[in-house]
Amino acid sequence: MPELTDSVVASAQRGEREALRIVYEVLAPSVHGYLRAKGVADAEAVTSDVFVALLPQLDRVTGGASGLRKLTFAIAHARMVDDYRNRARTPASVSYQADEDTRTVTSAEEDAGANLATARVRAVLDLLPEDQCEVLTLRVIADLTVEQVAAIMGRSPGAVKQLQRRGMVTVRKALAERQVTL
Amino acid sequence: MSPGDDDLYEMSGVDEIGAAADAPGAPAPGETAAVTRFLTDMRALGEAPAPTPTPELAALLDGAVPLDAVRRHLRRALVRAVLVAAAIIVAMTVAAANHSLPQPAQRMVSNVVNELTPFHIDPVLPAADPVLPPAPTRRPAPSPKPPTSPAAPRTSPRNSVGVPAPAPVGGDRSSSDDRTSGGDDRTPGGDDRTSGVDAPNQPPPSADDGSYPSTPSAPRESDRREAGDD
Repeated sequence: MPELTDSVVASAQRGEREALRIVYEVLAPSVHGYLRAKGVADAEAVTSDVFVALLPQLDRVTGGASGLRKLTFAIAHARMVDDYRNRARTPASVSYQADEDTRTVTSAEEDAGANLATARVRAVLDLLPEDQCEVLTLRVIADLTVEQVAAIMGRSPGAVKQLQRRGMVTVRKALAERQVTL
Repeated sequence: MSPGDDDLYEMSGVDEIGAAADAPGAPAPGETAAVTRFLTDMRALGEAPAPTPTPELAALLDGAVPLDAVRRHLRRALVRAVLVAAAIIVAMTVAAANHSLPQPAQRMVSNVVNELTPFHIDPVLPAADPVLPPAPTRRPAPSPKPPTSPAAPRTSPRNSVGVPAPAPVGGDRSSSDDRTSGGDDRTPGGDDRTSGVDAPNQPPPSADDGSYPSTPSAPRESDRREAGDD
């Protein structure tokens, strides 16, 4: 697994293909997981949209790998909000056609396991208020610092810490009361 | 610190998350394990292989220039061109208003401004003292008396070449009227025409003010009577 370093980011800013590939391979799984945890309908397509929006802005990224990660999830956060709004306006009217979906390349067993894990996580996250869920997903899945999450959410770092603490207390209580079985 | 906490620290690398999971109060060992498993599953969501990029993203990753960037560059270039054009137009207009442009450019800018805007710019600089060649006259107009107006008539070029200037018709005419008369003088015989046209519109001069018209006129009735008396 390649590592996202400041030099890789600098190479990507110069348009080097290999560096662009590394940026995508390192950040795309986190973005995809974040969008899945947030319940975005077509997480893979939205992940691509995030990078389509990100790559033209690479030359404006400051702060190296950390700055790039922060910008990536700021875009992902905005896309997730857009997806929520779109679904609120136009509910999905097309049923899922599994036979026509050629995107899945993993085995059925892997899919079942992954989907089960995703479902369990989503069941817990659904118990949380929206802002607490957002803090936990950005902190755990996106691996962002408190300050970066605060910048993305437009909150103060203290508020983010408070939301994180309350969210974890809620998670612990839910698991203790067996509201959700893991 | 419990083993579960160690796992949590190692997993997330974030102290606050583990601390928040413990607060408030001391959790039971089973609770900590459940929280750790939850965080592990949650973290695993972001460790799956990267999804297959869409064709558009694949082209970008191959180094293609995005269409949005091209459009953005074009938009910036257009905005810059509009700003430069606006600055040039303003500068030309200001220069034309100050009559600082060469005559052809001055005329062109003035025409455009006069046609397209409510403002008015004289196409030509108002002539301060145009040097004109002496106009041919049929006869020099006598000027029996100098004008009594405090605003003395300007020294005309004709005077500078030794041709006597016609006396103004009516001593109270303003200097702008003088300029108008001077403009008429450019045409041959302008003196006569000016006198002939302006004279009927002027009130009859009084004999006391000494501002008789410069052209000889028919003797008045009183003069004829006096002559007859003589």
